[in-house]
Amino acid sequence: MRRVAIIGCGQSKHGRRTDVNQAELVAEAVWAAIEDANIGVEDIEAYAVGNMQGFGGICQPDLVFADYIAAGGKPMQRVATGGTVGGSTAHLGYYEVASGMYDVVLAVSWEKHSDSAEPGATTGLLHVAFANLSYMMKIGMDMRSFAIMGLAGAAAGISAYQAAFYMARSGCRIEHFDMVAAKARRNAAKNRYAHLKWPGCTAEDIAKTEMLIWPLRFGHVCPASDGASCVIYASEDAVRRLGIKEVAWVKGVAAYADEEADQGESYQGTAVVDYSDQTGAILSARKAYRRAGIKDPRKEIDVAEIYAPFPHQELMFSERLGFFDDGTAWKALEEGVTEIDGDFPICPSGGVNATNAIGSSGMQRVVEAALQIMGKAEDHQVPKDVKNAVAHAWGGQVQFNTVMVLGDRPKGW
Amino acid sequence: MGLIKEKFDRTMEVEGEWSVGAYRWKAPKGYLDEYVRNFKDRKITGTLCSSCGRVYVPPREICARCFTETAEKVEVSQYGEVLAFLVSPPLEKGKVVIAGIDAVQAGFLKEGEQIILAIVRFEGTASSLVLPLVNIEPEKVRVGMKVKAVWAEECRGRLADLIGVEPAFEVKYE
Repeated sequence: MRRVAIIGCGQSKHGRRTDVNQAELVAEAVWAAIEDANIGVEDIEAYAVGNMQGFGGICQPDLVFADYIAAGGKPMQRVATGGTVGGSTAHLGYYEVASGMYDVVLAVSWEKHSDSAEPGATTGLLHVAFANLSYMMKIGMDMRSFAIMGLAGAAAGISAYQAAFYMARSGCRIEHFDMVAAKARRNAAKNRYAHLKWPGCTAEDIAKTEMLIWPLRFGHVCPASDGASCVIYASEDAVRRLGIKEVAWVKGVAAYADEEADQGESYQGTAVVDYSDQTGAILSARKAYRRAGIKDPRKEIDVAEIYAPFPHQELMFSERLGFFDDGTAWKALEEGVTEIDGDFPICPSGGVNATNAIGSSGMQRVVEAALQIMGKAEDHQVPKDVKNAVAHAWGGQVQFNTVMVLGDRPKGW
Repeated sequence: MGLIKEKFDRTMEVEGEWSVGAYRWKAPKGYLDEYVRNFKDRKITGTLCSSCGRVYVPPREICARCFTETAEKVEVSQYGEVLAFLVSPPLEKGKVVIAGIDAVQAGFLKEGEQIILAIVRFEGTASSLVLPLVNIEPEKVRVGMKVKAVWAEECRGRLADLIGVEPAFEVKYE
């Protein structure tokens, strides 16, 4: 495997973007990344693209925007792994360069929720769940049960169950979720690309919001954003040839799938009994660290960008990724360890809890981790020396995880 | 919220119907069909993996851990334990809208009722089910509490026969 570096990062402004269409939104991030890398568009040899299928109300948007991002006459592949897609697309771009197939590859992922009715819910969730629901209706589910299932909602619902599992397992309380959500909004206020900004937001502010379904409040839930994120990879030779100075090296990647939780596909059973187990995250982290040559993640990694649309996930995944022991992340939160200026900052950008354009979110973690390494994160740059950073993505029916370890130097330097 | 609620000068309505039961599934045939058929006799059945010993409820065709066919069907206990639970606030009109249908307005859910959704593992099984937990006040629910299946008055062999679960013992807290 060759050494690969991230040479350019680009993001669109995230939020409700009714001023652009999907192709323009994607192009915004792509051209920002090309400008950031300071290369010519002719230097890019291949494209990896991806979004959460169906959530933007357009079925195959990649067909439309290929010429907006100058992909004509070049190879372009689309990835679809649910919420994990940003992470998976970032991995695909890396694979293409690491394998020696191409020297410079651009990876972009995006989401435009506002194009869909009831952001994402109708077109997106129904296309995920409808086949299952139609079968359940066939075997005699009544409308009351249907409405009860809808009460918890799909992604929010499964996350609510996961939050309940995590609380029972770790002993943390709803107040800790309030603290995580407040931290996300405070950090987002420092990030000019973020969606839900709230300078000086406190846990008490979040605690005042309406309870949607115990244990999740309105203030805990991520927004449905529009946005795109992009990274450009280059091989070690290409970095030298193009004369690029500021890079973040990819030291190790890993991805694992697990069995589907929540009663299984088409209402068949599943052996995943605890939704907060997240075996896939544990395995991904272990393998990525081994590939990156990291032995003690808590000591060797300086900052982490975790895919956490809901606050319990930041706590849960920070344990699964090996930063804290199982069931102890909320104690670190209480001590302020995960704050932007803390000993182990988590999601200094505000994270997915403050900005969630699903497809973009996984890639944005990679972008933000790279920016921290290069020292280009502007107002939300952590005030410590960043040598290694971790970008994580999660999705599917709680079962897909990707982990990427970035560093200021390549592995074995 | 979305485009659908904004006013457009030109919109179009198309009449038609969508036969939701027409979707064909290969896997559940003989498994889920039989699972709900057994509801008629108020029985909960699952499948046993002969390789790892896991019992799946609802029954599944192939064990996802061993990749072996789970051919043996077994009846499982009506008693189980709560692994995790959610509690809804008292329901109001306009709060639960699914694909444009107000579930309270339409009468699927009662106004003012609070729904407890529990993830239940029936005794002897290695999987879990999401079921409403009934006949208990939300503040009395605890993770690990023992529950038993609640059936409809008249069971006709359909998914709705299994209404949910209720506490297996009288719950008393000091």
